Order: sequence, then structure tokens, then C-alpha cells
Amino acid sequence: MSQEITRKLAKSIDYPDCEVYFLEAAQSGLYPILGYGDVITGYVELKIGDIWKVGITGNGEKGRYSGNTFYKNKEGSFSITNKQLIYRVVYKGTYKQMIVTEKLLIYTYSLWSGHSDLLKPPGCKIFR
Amino acid sequence: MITVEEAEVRYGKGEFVLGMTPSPAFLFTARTDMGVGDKVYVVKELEGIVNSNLQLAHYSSLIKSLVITFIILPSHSGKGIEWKDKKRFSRKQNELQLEFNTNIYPIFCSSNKKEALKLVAEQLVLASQKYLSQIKDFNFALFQSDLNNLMIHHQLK
Repeated sequence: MSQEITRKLAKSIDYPDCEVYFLEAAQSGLYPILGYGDVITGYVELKIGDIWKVGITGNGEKGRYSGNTFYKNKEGSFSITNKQLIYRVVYKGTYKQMIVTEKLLIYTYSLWSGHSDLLKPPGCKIFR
Repeated sequence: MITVEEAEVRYGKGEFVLGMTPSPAFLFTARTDMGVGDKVYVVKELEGIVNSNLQLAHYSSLIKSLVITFIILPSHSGKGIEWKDKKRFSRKQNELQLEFNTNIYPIFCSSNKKEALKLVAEQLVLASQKYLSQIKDFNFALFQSDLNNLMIHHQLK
């Protein structure tokens, strides 16, 4: 993780007005676990307020997600919208500050989320 | 964690992909900022109160689902993006979606959870007055009366 963060920081320039956000369950139920290549690798029971995804953006919610859709599968057969998830900003700062925060939250998800069986947030396809 | 195969057994193929219980008839959600924190979940508390006491079918034969997104953001947030009210009706799902721009951000941020719940309840009344009162196939007078009684009963007024 530290190597990845160091590499990422060295490669990128810093700029202000970024945010780390959570997509949190707005309904209790079964949520998909996404994997590399946008495949669903399984499902997890989330309660209201549980975190499905940790993300970063410099464009705010409206710039990151168009409309109310937070996820649509490749086939377009189902989507996850603001009915099921709530976008919540948790940290604000520069890009470099936020990228470090995001990685820490993703890599340590199993320790703080209450879902110790998951290595990463279910809505994050990869660790990066 | 549940595998895809287990989910198919439990929920049936094609149905489980939505992965959730059917949405309640009154569905409340919110767009917020960091200042609001986890007080955002008072909208779900209000959703529970409303769904436990009111039935949408009593007020409209057309609308099967009412989704209200409370926008609780400072007026200058979102990189110059202005959040405006939106009303949309999906004929396919018979779903009315409202995005309601509240002007309660500063007071909401400084409130406790009980006060925050009251603030959102007030916004529900305002959103109803502004949009539901205009809908032909919606018995607004009855809804307003029931909502008012509910607010009093739950000390949200």
C-alpha cells in the first residue's frame, strides 16, 4: 500500500478542491460486490449507513455521477441509484491529501467497516 | 458474503440482481455535504415514520412510488453548480421523483438529531405543498391532513 501511495503521489500533480466520499447504503439489503472487469463476484448484506464504496473526485457529486445513478452494470440490466445509496462527503482537501486518505480507507476497509470478511469496499472494483 | 450462486438460490435468477427488498412507497433520500455528517440518516427515520403510518394508495391511484431527495447543501456548493428543484414522473414505474432544494444547511449542521428530524419533516411539508398540491390525481387535502396529524403525533411540529 505505501509503495502504491508513494508511486501515485510522485506521478501526480497536486490541485485543490478534491473530496473523498462514501456511497452508503440507504436501504438494508443485498448489495453486489464488484471485481476487476466490472464483474459481480458476490453479494453482501448491508445495513442502512454501511459503506458500499469509497471514492475520490475533484468534480463534486454532480460532476462525478450524472443523474441519480451510481452504478450500472455492463449490460445495462440493472443499476444502483440514489434510492439505494447516499453520496456522503467525508473529507475535503487537495488531490494528494485525498488520494492518500482514499487509499488508506480502501485498504483498511475490513478493519473499520464492520465487514471483516471483505478485503475492500464492495463497490470498489479494484484497490486502486 | 454471499456467492452469486447462493444469491441465485435464495432470490431467483434475475431478481436478486437488484439485491434489495422492494422500495417503500414513500422513499426519502438526500444530497448532503461533509458538514451534515451522519445526521443525513434522519431522512431514513422520517421515511420509516411516514411509511409506517401512511399509505400512498390512499391518496393516488396513479402514483405507486414517491421519491423525495432533500438537497441539504450550502447555496454555493458544488463548484458553482446550483442545485435546483426537479420534478419527474416515470410512467413506466408510476414513480414521482422530486428533488427539493432546502435552505436549511447552516441550521441543519448545527442541530442535534432530534432537531434535524424536525427540520426535515418541515421540509417534507413544504415540498408537499409546493409539488403534490399541483397534481390532479393526488388527494392533497387528505394527505396534508394526515401528514399534519402524523407530525403532531410524533412531535415533529
